[in-house]
Amino acid sequence: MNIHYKFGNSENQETDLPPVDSRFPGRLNVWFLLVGAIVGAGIIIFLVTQNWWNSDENLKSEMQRLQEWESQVGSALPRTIEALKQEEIEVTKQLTDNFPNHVEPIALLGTVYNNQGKTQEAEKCWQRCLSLDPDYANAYDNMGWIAMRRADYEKAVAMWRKVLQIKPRKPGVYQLIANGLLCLGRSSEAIAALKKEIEINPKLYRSYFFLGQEYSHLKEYEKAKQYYEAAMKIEPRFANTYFGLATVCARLGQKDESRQYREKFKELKAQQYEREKNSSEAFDDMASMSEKVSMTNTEIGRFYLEQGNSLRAEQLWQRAAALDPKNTDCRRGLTALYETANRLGEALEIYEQLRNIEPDNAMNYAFIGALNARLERFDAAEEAMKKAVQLAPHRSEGNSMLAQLYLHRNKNLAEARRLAQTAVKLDPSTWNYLVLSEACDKNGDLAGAVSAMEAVVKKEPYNMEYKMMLRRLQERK
Amino acid sequence: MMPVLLCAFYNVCDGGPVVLRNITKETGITFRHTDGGSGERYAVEPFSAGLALFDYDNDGNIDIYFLNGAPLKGTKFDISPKNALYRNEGNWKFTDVTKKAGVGDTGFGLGVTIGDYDNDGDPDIYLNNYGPNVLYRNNGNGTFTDVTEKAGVGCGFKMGAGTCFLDMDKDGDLDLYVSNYFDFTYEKHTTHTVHGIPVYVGPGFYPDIPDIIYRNNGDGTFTDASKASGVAGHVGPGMGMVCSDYDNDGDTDIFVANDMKGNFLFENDGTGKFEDVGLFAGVAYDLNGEQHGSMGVDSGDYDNDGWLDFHETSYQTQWATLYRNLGDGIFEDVTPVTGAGTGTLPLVTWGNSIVDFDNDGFRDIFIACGHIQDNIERYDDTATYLERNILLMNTGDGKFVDISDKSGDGMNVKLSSRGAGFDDLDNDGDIDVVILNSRREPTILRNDSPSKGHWIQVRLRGTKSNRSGVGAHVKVVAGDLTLVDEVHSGRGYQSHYGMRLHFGLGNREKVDRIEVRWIGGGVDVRENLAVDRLLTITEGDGKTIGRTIE
Repeated sequence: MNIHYKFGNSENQETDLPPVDSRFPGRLNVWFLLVGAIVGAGIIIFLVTQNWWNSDENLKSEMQRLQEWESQVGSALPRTIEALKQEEIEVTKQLTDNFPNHVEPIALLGTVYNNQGKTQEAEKCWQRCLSLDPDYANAYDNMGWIAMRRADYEKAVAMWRKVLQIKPRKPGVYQLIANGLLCLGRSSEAIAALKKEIEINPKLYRSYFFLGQEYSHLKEYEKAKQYYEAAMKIEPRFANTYFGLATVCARLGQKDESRQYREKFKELKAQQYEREKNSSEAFDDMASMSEKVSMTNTEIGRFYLEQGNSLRAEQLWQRAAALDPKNTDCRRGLTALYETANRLGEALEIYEQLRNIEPDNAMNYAFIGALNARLERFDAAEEAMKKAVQLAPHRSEGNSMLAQLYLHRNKNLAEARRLAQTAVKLDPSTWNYLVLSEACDKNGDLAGAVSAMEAVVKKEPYNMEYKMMLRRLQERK
Repeated sequence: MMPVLLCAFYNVCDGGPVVLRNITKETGITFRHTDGGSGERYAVEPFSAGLALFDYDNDGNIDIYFLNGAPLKGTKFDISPKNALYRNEGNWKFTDVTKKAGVGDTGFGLGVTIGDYDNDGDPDIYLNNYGPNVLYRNNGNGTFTDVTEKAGVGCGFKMGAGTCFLDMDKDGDLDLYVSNYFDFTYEKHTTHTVHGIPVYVGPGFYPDIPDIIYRNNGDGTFTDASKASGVAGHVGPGMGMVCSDYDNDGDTDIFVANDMKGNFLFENDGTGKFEDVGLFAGVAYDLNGEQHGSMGVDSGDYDNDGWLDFHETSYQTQWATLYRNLGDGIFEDVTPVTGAGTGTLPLVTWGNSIVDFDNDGFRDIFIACGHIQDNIERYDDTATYLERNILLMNTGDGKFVDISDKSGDGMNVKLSSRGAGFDDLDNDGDIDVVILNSRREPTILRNDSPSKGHWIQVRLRGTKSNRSGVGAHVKVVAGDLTLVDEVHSGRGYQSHYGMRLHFGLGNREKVDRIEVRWIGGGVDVRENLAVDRLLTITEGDGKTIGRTIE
């Protein structure tokens, strides 16, 4: 059973260069500042709306908390898994103390308890969530899982039915109910639930699989076979479907087919056995527990930031980074904070950590390049941007950025134009045409500059600034 | 006041059709199991051990043989733990005769089976240990001799599991199957933690090792026939096992429960050559196609359709599973539709049996429970190390209901059970229970069920076939009731019991016919028999020797 809860979406990590905002800044060298600021822009807007930093009181209070925090857990890392677990509970409890009327922190505490095998404590948390928000469906969902684990199938089914009362078309819930009903031997109800699941979520292969199984029990082998085949079509690597197919084909007297499915099942099972052999998934050690606690700190940091408390977010993300040298989420959070606060050196340091963790991620090099440029370390910037181009030659951004760097430094101008042309080919965006226009201009190709600027104006005909820039170029011509 | 006292002292208010009374303290049994652990959590520790119920001295009373662990590296005992044989003196009194009998093996006990391998009329003992295995030959005078070396069945130094005697080639003597778990050694010992709590690890962390099958040469020696029989080609973490003629073709097949790998069902071609048909037959995996952490396995006809079904115990989050024999070489996992898995999902389940406790003619299921991890509560509050066992009553319509809560104080015992044996220890016509509990005293449960149906017990004596009658198939017809059973040597969780076949008959007051099909094909029939008696049937003998038990 896995119950994972996250405050936000942590899956939007790019492995490549991100698309660039196409708004033209007016002067190219200002763009370097913007590259780094893109990540932090959302945060700035959020903080502006919260207006938190204008409050001296807030700041003082934050400083106090920072000192308290540092005295509590900011120093040495825990030496035992028990200590790590304790830290995870404490930091999450602190969050619930600070936000006693928010559902999310309490739900997170429930998840932490559950993941530590303390299901009774977890259940109490989810009950509290429901007292704050009776429509908090996740609480019912999680309690359903716990009931299943305790073999309390009636309760599990009841919990998941509650989920459906709140979210009638939530994918997967009918299938869970069906599982509970199957455990209770209530086959016909389970079949009905599975069919409902398929209506909602026609791609959930396990529902077809379970239907195959139920019809097999009812000795309706043809029907069972159809459902197994549907499951196989959606997920051909799920070994157990072939087990079901082999069984029903044998019952139908289709010996050859049965044998083929059996062989396929054996093949996939053998692969699974090899994969799972020596698997320590169920077990843990300091490293894996540190990773878990690091992720919890990251999630909590995110929540504090959402509530306008960037200092606490920073503390938690620093702690998360210390606990898990490979945690990228917390590090990305820190870079955004540092850039927002113009703590460029610290941001650069974290980006360098990210680069070491993900040496193939072009984005990290791009940001390192941009930050170095802002810090006027142009050689380092150039090196990083070259690496970004090398890692993601199919993306325009690296080419464009490097072109800008050369243009800014008035060096390698021919190369700058080539890079700008490549960027336009890869992505004929307003921004890339602007860079190309500048590159052509600096290479003495006024016609090229005008042509590129015309493309810009064509793309954004109502932008007066672009029109003026075009006019100036035309006048020179 | 009076009813309350009666309830308290005699548990007469249990109210269920089956009452199992905990009489351990009254028996004089002082055995206490040890797993030999020193805190290092060696993988072998939690799998000890099975037990055997058999009549070692042929006095008509079923005796008890407990297996024990042994000191592992880092552990010291003032007195070495050893296996213990308790002689049944009758009236629920047992005497420790280990020393006198010479069966106090100090090896690390895991599995045991009983069979008359030398066909001299008395039961011998085979021990499947972690370390060298042992064959004790029964001298017929209450003593045994260790003949392992001479017999050639020591197996080297392996981590054993279940073991069974069977006549695989129908030559009239008992061959021997030895299941092996995995290749654990101190050098290969590894530890892991869950949420920082140190735990035992199982298969997957150690290489699997093949099982061994020995062919009886008929002269007191055995030959390793693993390769010739086809068994050596299959490797898995073997646990409990049972030998059973599942396809009713007159030869003995072999079911080996594997831990986290598909179970083996070795189909015998009649000459002692085997093919694994577990996957084809549908017993290798559960109904979902998932492998189980299989522990014990028993064979019995739960639905009285004349075909022997299998019941397998398993790990936490898996149901103990009932496989119904459809009679065409295929089984169906009927666990959810029969309710046979009730209560088992959160537990680790071990010893088991398909056995009729209330003599109503329908076999019930007993399941011994207890977690592997002695600290499970520290990282999973849905489980406990000590658990109550489970009793599922067969309602006669293909369903089982959990009657553990109303079946007497014997079902309230909370320990970490392993092997379990089922036999009529007081010769009163119902099945009692003996359970070996890890690190603790055993549990002895007397069957005090209130309303008993009629019954008949059948003891077989082979003449052409093996003397123990192992593998013989017995059909009992009493009016509208037809029951089948088979003589098994080794079953459940690494244990042995039930060589004297027990048939509950409900209200049928006579048995119309008993048909015995011996290994080798001979058939003996007895007709018009009185009930409530132990009947001895000797192969090829026209006479029937029976006695009524009061």
